[in-house]
Amino acid sequence: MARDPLIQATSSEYAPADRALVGEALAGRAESVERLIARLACVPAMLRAKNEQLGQPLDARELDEVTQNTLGSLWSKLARYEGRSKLETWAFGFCVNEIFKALQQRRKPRALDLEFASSVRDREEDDREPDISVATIESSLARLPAESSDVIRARHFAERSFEDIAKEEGLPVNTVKARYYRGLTRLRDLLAPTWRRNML
Amino acid sequence: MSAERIDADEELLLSILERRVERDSREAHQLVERRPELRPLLEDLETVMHEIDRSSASDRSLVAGIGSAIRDRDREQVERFVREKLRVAPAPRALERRRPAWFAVAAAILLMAVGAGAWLLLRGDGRPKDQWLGDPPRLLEPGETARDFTHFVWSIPGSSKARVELEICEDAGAGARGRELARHTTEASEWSFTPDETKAWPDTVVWSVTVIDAAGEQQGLSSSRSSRRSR
Repeated sequence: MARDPLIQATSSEYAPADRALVGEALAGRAESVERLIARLACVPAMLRAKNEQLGQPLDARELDEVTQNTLGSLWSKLARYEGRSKLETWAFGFCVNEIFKALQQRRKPRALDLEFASSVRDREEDDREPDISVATIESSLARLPAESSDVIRARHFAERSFEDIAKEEGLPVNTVKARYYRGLTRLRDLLAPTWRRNML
Repeated sequence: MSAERIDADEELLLSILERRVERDSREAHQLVERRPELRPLLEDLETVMHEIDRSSASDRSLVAGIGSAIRDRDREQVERFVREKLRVAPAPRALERRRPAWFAVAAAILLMAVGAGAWLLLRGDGRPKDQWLGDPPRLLEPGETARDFTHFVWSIPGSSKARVELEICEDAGAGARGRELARHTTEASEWSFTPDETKAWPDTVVWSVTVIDAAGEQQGLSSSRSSRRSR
């Protein structure tokens, strides 16, 4: 089932102007449609950048397919966009979801192979052990149930509070915390072998 | 242990991880004394959180700097997609709110009533109707315009006192709205213009009626295209 990515924003990124832009574009106002197109042009670019960050597991044709899927998925939810984050931030959640969905659907999920992923090093150097690559983190997040990975991304990427996420999802705060906690412990299980090996 | 609940110890562990409770606090010490198996978990989860934070910072940086990475081809690809979507299904209802299930049932009944009404109207006078754009209107019945755009009529089933915003624009092609020609807010279900006011308008216009609730929020929108020579 397609889900709304929970990646939204902190209150400082609340974007009522973007919400108005989307409303006007969907209502057919020509000028707003033009502006919306210009804003959504970030989607193929973000997918390309993310693919590069992950070590280019998708080739050009696959990336094109993922772009179409991402735009389709985003479009189906556009009327529900509430301007809680900038349009680009909101769209990024769809990009991440779709790129990992594509990788998961592969017969040989190369990017989900932690050996492969851990060979892709971050550009940013970080002295702190265990030096796990972004690709490894992302591929491990993609292995979690969507309800857990969404909450983790919302907490860490968008820095949203549990209360805010719970309100958005119509769930008790404790349930959101439980999904987050279960997700973290599952991530520990997935990542620990990698970091223990790196620390040897 | 429930997958959808956390207990008090787990909640405290989360608070420590998120530094809402000090690692050296009495509560934290009591927790690991009471449940020593949580000590290695706490240490591991601190590492996990650190790594997720690093990955998230990398993503935020990617999004923040994406402007300079956009190519002409990206824009063209998105434009093709959006134009096609607007042509095939022009208007997923703007800023749609999540509604409870009963609303869907009520909307379905309303749509059937609207459809029946429209059919009866068409059957009654035999005149061609304006071309409706987008999904069937949820809250509005099809409206009509006078031949020379001097009169616009609409109706809102079940609500005689709704405040609506009438907007009339040039047709920018494929039903898209172009330059705004007129905009009025009213509680009436019609609006009249003088022939002088409309004589400079193009032969085809796109007009919409938006229902506004007491809080000033849009609650429904219907859009239509009309032509001077359409009837």
